[in-house]
Order: sequence, then structure tokens, then C-alpha cells
Amino acid sequence: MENNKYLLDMTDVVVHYETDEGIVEAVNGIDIKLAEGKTMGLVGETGCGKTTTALSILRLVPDPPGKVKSGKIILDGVDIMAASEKEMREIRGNVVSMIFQDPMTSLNPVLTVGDQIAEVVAIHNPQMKKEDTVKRAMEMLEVVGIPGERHTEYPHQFSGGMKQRVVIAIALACSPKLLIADEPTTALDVTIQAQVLELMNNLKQQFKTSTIMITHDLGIVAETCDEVSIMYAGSIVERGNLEDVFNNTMHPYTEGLFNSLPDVDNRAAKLKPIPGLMPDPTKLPKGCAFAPRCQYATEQCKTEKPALVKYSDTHYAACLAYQDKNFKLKGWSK
Amino acid sequence: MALLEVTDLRKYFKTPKGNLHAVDDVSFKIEEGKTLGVVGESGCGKSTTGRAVLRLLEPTAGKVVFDGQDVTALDKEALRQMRRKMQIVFQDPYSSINPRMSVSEIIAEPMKLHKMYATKAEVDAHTQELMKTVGLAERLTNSYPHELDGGRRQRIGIARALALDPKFIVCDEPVSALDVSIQAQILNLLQELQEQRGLTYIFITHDLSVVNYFSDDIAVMYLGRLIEKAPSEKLFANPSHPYTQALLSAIPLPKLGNKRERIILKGEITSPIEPKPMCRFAPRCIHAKDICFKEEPKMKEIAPGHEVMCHLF
Amino acid sequence: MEAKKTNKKRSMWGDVLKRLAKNRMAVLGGIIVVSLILIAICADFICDYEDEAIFQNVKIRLEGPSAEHILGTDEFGRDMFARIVHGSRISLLVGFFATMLAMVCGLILGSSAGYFGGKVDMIIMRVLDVFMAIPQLLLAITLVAAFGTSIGCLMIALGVSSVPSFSRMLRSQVITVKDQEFIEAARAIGAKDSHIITTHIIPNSLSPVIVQVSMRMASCILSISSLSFIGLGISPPTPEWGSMLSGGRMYLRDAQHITLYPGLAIMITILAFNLLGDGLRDALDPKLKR
Repeated sequence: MENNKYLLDMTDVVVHYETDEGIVEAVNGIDIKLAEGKTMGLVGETGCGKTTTALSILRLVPDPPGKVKSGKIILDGVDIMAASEKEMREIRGNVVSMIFQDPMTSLNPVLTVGDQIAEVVAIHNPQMKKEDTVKRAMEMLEVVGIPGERHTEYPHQFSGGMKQRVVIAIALACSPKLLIADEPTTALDVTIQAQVLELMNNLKQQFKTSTIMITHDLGIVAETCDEVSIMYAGSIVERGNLEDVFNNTMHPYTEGLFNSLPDVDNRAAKLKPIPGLMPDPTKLPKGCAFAPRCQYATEQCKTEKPALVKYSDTHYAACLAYQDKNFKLKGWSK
Repeated sequence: MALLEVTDLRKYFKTPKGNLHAVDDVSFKIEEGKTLGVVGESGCGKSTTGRAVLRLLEPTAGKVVFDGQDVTALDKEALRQMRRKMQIVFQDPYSSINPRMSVSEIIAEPMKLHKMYATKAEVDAHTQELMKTVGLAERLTNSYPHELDGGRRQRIGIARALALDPKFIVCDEPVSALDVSIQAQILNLLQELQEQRGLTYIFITHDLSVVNYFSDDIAVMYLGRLIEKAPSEKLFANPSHPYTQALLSAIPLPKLGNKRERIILKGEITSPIEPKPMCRFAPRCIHAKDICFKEEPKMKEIAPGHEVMCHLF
Repeated sequence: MEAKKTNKKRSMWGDVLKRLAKNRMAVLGGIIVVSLILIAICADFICDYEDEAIFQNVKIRLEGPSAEHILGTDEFGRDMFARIVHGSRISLLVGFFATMLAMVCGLILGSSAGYFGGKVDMIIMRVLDVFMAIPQLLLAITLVAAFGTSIGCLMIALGVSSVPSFSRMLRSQVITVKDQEFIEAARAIGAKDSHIITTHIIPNSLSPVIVQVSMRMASCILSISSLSFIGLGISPPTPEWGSMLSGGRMYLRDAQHITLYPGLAIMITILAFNLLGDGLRDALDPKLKR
């Protein structure tokens, strides 16, 4: 069986939101394959469909208005699309769990942090005794670097970075095989972000958890991920390992992202922003979604949707310009 | 002479537990046409500093001299007039513009308030010109903010600040709420405006890579104190305060290989309420000595233009 | 994005109306409210006031519905339909002005308390707290008893007793709006307090006020009827739903229709205003957008 190769195997997943203003084409045919123990960065800007992709793995896309139109998601050998709601509850938390961006709102303010961790443990281990779940909660707090005795405290007694640690503890309480982290450090300060990222890196090695790291920060990807997928307007435009994407950038959008980042080591380097705005997801262009902002776009790009093409064992890109064998990006200055 | 000179600026907030020292004896100067970057993490007092300079918050003590005038001594009407010269661009493009006003109404409001032009036609013409300057299409004139994305809203905020033709603008994290590609557009816009109009900026941010790109001088703040100040190249080449070093090393770089030695700070920011007379960074500092817990360090010049507040020097 | 293709002025209120139109119950409420207003305005064209609503004709008293008197006649032989139609005038008029009075006072007191805070806030809110401690109806009864039972007095009495709830709501709304950056932005461009309150704070605090107006209309109309029922509101022979109800209660056994119809009129009116208010609340809530 081919599926066994990957922990997560998403094929051609399409998710639409049917709103009054029109159909929002949030995710348009995404393939994600993630091997056990690996970390993949899912990079893109607001509204590109990163979070929707993640929610579709948990089958938590809000319905209505969201609809998973087609595609196949195999997680740990289970077909997510075909699973019953009961099976899904088993899977969520146990096989896959998610960390959300804002630690302030993802904890319940009226329960102690210990109870919140113990609750997750108890749901997935109904036979476990109350004392044991509490013990487990304390262990988990220690794992994320919080003294276990603090399990009787309430979320408001913790700072932002500490709260995010608690959220991580909850996510890892049932030792899931896949952890989805949705911008886990965006709400945190740089020095606290460094602490949390280091913690996540350590835990990943300790628990052998596969991770999908959703972020807009290519710096975080460089620090924490093994491979990376760049998303634009609901599609993956480039995918590969770090070396592929950072040093042999193929897609013009990826190049544009790098050009938009100030370089810490070179003050003189001018920013070269991508002109224009993301297309309205209710009215995506007929051809390549990036064509209206792309400096390399040709007439063909306006009418034809590029497919994700394999260029090496690991490196994929969706760009029509490479039909011309001699095409090369202008490159981004380092 | 410096365009803006701030001396021992102090802003305390009263809380039930005592005074919260948001900004404590901060001093700096900015030459005309230059940019001072103010960096620090949340709660370090960087935004409060920006607002106290403009007297959007009344400073508790200290002196702000702008263009030869003492801003802290102005009465209400004189301050209103002063606002024409000093402006601010806010962080959050969603809450910083009135959702019930159209784009042109927002941009025209300051001109109307100060009765800069005699006729409505003139105001309209200037509004159009400003929209063009900041890159807003003419068809958006009658649009409402909720129809626009963050980048466009931020352009409205910039146009509103420019409407009074100020000399000096406080940019309070103007790009931190925006996406990377839009962020670069706005940074470039701000830079072009500075070149065209000879603007002077205070650029407040938590993002060190942005501040490096944008500023001539950088001031690093920690818990209300300005702890290090230097020209940008110097600060990045030779960060001297242990906090600055940690802050610099914590930026995740979008590059492979050549990893910096990372300094992971222990703990989190301590309380700014009634701080003890000691170095405020000492509890998290890897180099902390006895004296650091007993005495607050003074600002020392360690190289021309490079000042540090640390007992190590 | 609408902005891309059009240059037309489309305010937030346009969106609100659109969302409101999708809510069937709210539309129903709206239609009833509009019809009531039309009935009140055109009452003189529908049936003559003096001849049908006031003129007593003992020969035909307590008659059931018939072709000539579609809702029957009351204990003095007056046409029920005409009296209910003309009664709507009093209810809506008093309800409207009482609510407006409360809204304007609430707007001024609530926004000053919220915007200035500190001592101003303390004084205004404590005074209003005292008013809050007295039940609305009791307060109205006291005022009417003290100043007489004219329509004007009734409006003021009901209006004053609604001021605290308007002020409280507006105060909390203003405090939320005040903390937003665009208020600071307005100060940064040199706007005066009065300008900030009128152009920035009030327009952004209005949505709950509109909901409240609709709900308050309902409760004011109910209060008028209650006051009239106990004889402190509109005095006979002026047609008023509450006093009609009160007059009819003697004949509950023989002629139910003379209590049934005014009762229905009160019920439908209040239901309509409440439905509209509920619909407005949903339509104005930005969280329910999309």
C-alpha cells in the first residue's frame, strides 16, 4: 500500500465557502504528503487558505458555509472523509491535534490549566482515574517547562508565552502523531518566540511528532522545518525541502516573498515588494492566480492554470514559465 | 540643531498597586530628515514614548522640544496648532480609521479641522492628490474602510497623517499587522515620502530586521528604559547590551546555514510597577553581577554616538 | 470586493438593511410597524373621529362584529374599529416622543459619562442609578400623579423613566469605542472633544441605540396602556387601547370582543417592535457578518 509511506496524505483537496457574496474558493486542489517525524512549513499570506487546509485535516471546516468539495485525506491509514463523527472524535487529539495562534483565547479562563490538560487526557482515556489524569497533566506541564505545581492556577495567572506553553501541553497530552501549529508564535514577542520555538524543536525530537507549521514567517520555517510548501490563493505554488525552496527558488511568488523581506545583514538592499494585492478568492483569475502580480507572466499564464510539476525528487513548482527550458528567475539578492 | 530633542521623558500610569513606570527618563535627539528606530518588546514603553512625544499622552515629567518649541509647555490651542507639524501613523489599520467615514472624508478631515483651504473644491483636489501620493486609486474615493484590505487601510492612515503636511511623523508599528508582501510596499512608500518631503520619523517596531532597514539610529528599550542607542550599522555590528544581543540573536533569519549563536533568554519581562533601583534586565541577564541587582546603571558612551546602559561597561 | 468595480456610495447602513431584509421575522415586524404608522397617520381618512370613535349611541351598545361595525361596538355603542384605529395615534405618538426624549437625554448623558470618565462619569451614573432603583412604571405613576395626566406629561414621565437604560448602554458603548485608535488619531490631527464625540464616537455607538429604540417603543406603548388601564393615562373618552381594555373588563362575560380587540392591538404592536428590534440587533452585529 502506498499510503503507508506517509502519515498524512492529502490528494487534490478542494474546500469552498459558500457565502452570500459568492463562492470563496479557499483551497483549490491541494496535495500534501508528510512522512512520519517530519516537519513541514505551510507558508502563505492572510487568506491564502493555510488555516482552511489545516482544518480540513481535522474535518473542522465550519459547515455552513464551508464545504469540502472533493479530494482525499488519509491520516495514519484512516480515510478522514469517510470516517464517522465518532471516529473523528477519536482521531482529534489522539492522532492529530492543533495549536492555535492566539494563546489568550484558546484557553478556557474559568478552568485551571491542570484541569484543561486533564480533560483532554480523560476524554481519550475514559478508563483512567481522575488522579492519574491530573498526574499526567502535571507531567505535561513539566515537559513544556512549567513547574507541575502550577497546575492549580488559572490561565490569567500566566503570561502570553506561558499560556502558549500550556496550549502546547494540551496538544501533546495524548501524544498525537501529527501536530498542526497555526502561527503558534505570531502573538508572542521575539525573545519569547525564540523560547517557544526552541521548546517545540526539542519536543519534536522527544516525541517524534510530525508537525505542520503554518506561518507567514520564512525565518521560522528556516529554523524549524524540514520541508516547506508555499501557498498562494488556495494552491501550493512551490514545494520542496529547505535547500530547494530557499536556495533554488523556482516560483516567482516565492521569489517575491524573499524580496519583500528586509535583510538583516545588508542594510543597503532595497525591498522589492510584489506589486498589487491577493486576488479576491470569490473571483479567482482564470489562469494562474499569481499572473496579475507576476513580472514574468505571459499571455498563456492568463488563460491556463499551471499544475504542480516535479523538477527533482523533492522539488515541485507550479509555474508555466518553466515550459521554456532556459527560463530562470532573476533571483533574490542575499 | 536637532529637530526633536527629548530630555528625561517620563510617563507613569497610576495603578492600584503603585505607579507603572511605562517610560522612565528617556532622552534622545533626532536630526531633521532622519529616522530614529525605537525597538523593544510589548510593554517596554516604546508606543508610550511615541505618544508622549506628541502629547497624545500627557508626560509625567521631562521636556520635548520640537522645532525650537517646548511641546510640553503648550496650552490646548497651541498644541492643536502644533499637531499640523507632528503626526502619527498607527499600528492597527482596522481600528485606526473610523468605519463610518468614507476614504475621502477620512483624508479630508484634518484639512477641514484646521481650515487649511477656503473652498471645498480645494480640499477635494488635495484629497485626490494625497490619495495619488500614497497609491490609492481614485475610484476608492467614496469607498468605506470595511471594503478595503489592511494595506489599503494603512495607506489611508498615512494619507491622513500627510494631509496637514507635517515635518515629523511617529510611525507606531505601521507594518506589523500587514502581510509580508504588503509590508514591503508600505515600507517603500514611507521611505519614498521621506525622500520627497524631507520627513523626520520615529519608527516604533518590535521587528529588528525592519528597523535596521529603515532607520539611521536605533534606540532599544526595555521596561521603560532606553538601554542602548547607536547608529544602525554600529548597533547591528556591535550590539553591546546583553538584551540587545539576545534580541538580535532571536530574529529567525530566512536563510539556511550561517546560523547565529542563539541566546535564549530565561524568564519573561518583569513587572514595570514600582521597579526596584536595580538594572531592570538583571533577572534575565546571563552576565548579571551583584552590582546589577543593587544599583541602576547609567547611560555611558562606549563609542562615538553609541550609548549603553549597563554595568558591564 | 465592491469597491473594485463601483464608485457608488455604499455605506454600512446599506449592508445592514440588506441583512435585515433576509430575516423573515424582522421583515414581518417591520411591515407591521410601517402599517401601524400609516394607520395612525391616515386615521382620519379611515374613519371619522367625532362620528365613529367618540359619538355615543346607546342603542347599539355591545354589539358583536357585523358588516356595519366590523369589530362590533363598545359599551357606549362606539365603533370598536374606529376606536382602535384612532387609539394607535396616541400609543405611537406617546411611545415615539417618550423614546426620543429618552434617547436624546441618554445620548447626552451616556456619551459624556463614557467619554470624560472620572468625576463626570461618577456623578451622572450615580444619579441614574437612583432612577434605576425605582421601577419604570412606578416612576411614571409618580410623575403623572404629580403633574397631571396630559399627553405631554405622559411622554415626559415615560421618557424620563427610560433615560437610565439608554445612558448605561451608551456609556458602555462609548467606553469601547473611545479606546479605539481612530479616536486617538482624531486627537492627533487636532480635533476638539465636541468634534470627536459628534463625528467619531456617536456614529460608532449608535447600532445598539437603534435596537434599544425599537425595544423601548414597545415597552413605552405597553406602559401607556398600563397607565391608562389603571386610570392614570389617557382619560376617556379619548380612545386609547389600555383604557378600552379597562372599560371592557366589566363586560368580559357578555361581550368579549371589546377587550379582545384592544388587547390584540397592544400585543401585535409590541410583538412587531420587538421582532424588528431583534432583527436589527442581528443585522447590526458585525460578528454575524458573512
